Amino acid sequence: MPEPDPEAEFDMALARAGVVVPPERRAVMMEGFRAWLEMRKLLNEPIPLATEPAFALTQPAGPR
Amino acid sequence: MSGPIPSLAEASAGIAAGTLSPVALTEAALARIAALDPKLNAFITITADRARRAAALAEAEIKAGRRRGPLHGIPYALKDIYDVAGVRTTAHSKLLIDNVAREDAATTAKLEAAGMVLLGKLSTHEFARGGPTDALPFPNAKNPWNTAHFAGGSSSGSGVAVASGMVGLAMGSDTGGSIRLPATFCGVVGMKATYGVISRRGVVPLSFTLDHAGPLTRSVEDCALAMQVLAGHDPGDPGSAREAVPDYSADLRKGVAGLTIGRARAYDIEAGVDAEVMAAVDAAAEQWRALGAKIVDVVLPSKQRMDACIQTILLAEGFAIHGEWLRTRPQDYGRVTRERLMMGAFVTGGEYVQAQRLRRIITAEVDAVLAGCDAILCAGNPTAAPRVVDVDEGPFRKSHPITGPFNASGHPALALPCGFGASGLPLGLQLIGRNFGEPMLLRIAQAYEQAAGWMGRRPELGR
Repeated sequence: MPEPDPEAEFDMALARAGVVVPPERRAVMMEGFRAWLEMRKLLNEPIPLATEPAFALTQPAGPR
Repeated sequence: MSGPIPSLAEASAGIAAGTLSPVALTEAALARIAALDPKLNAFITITADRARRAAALAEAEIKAGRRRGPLHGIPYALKDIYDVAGVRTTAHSKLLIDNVAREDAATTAKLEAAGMVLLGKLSTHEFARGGPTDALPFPNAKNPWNTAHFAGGSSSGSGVAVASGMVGLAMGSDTGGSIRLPATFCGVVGMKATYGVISRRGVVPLSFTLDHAGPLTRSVEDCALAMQVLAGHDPGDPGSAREAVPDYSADLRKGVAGLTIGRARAYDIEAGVDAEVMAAVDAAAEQWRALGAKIVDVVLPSKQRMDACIQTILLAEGFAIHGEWLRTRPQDYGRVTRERLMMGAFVTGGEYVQAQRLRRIITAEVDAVLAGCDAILCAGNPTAAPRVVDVDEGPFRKSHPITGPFNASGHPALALPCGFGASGLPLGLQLIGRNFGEPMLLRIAQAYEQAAGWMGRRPELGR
């Protein structure tokens, strides 16, 4: 599958969110977006289905 | 009285002995603010009349034998994201410039019930998210050790006010390090307690599941005194923990003999900690060893992976809170705040959920490390405070704070001074503890603080 075009994804995400980046700040925001694209790859590790997000909102029973 | 106002513990002892009056203490604090704040910009709002009335009331109650507790009659200040009924909460932003709170934040109410005296509201990075050079309605706080250097953030005014001796207790908030970083850069103590220990009700949110309210103080003992007032279940905060409140001062002087401290050196290396900070943290470990603790190496989960978790959550939750204003009033934010919040537009629902699932795994991995030691030791920041002109104010930082992973895991983390760099600026460390293990962190920190003696040093502007 081809890699999505970052420029197109950038524009689509902003349009969907309804926010506007001024033209003079586009390059800086795009640089931030590219860094985010790299970081989000780290979210893709295999996680058991039993690890539900709801658990994150309660205190874990870790060691005391 | 002139010079820096006394610590909470000193003031408490003086008031108990009848040698210090709340009215005199409050007047001294107001005089110090008047003398120093024009140079340091710690305060946005000074509530002098209210403070004088509260101090007079406290003095009368104490004289009549109705002392409410150890902090009765002692001044405090709040980061300007905490509500105080009848006082504006601006979050240092044009967007909230006329926002007058109707009710006290839960923490404000606790501090008031303890008889403390509010001096005012403190500078912050806008909405606890911006940077130190944004053009905002109020000036940004300056580091009293060197005003050309970063005071840390986002609880910048809180760190500055305590370090310069304007106040003994300043409340901050910490979503990714915003208590611990100003504590480190300003050379004071800052506590991010376990998620849920201190209520967030009435504190302007940045990220619902990462935000922590907490104290910045001059000393570890003061931190324990503040925690005693601040901790406790609040049914009005959906994230509030149902834990009994321990005695935070009970174990302070038990020492560290027989305890185990896990030195997370690999984590510091991954975070890019520089040589002088690394040496200071290693020297602190040696100090604890000399005091009887066992020091072991521990390996935390990869910081890069933990950063991905916290940044995803922070971006998404921050956008959920600010999306409407970003669409309708973007020009009313400072540039740094606006761009950092806008980055949340790029996070999908699936990525947010995946980050919350990863958070469970990371939390369990940190728990596993803590099963083998009483606290984890790492740096408070990779460097001493950088020059303000060198601070990364981009929309997505090139390097994320060393403090952030423990907001994702929810574990308590204490920032503690551990020396001074070649530039004369303070250096700091972090101690991370087991859930609800704040008394253990305070015990370990107290032993070091007393042995190391850094607390005696004051910045030129704070003498």
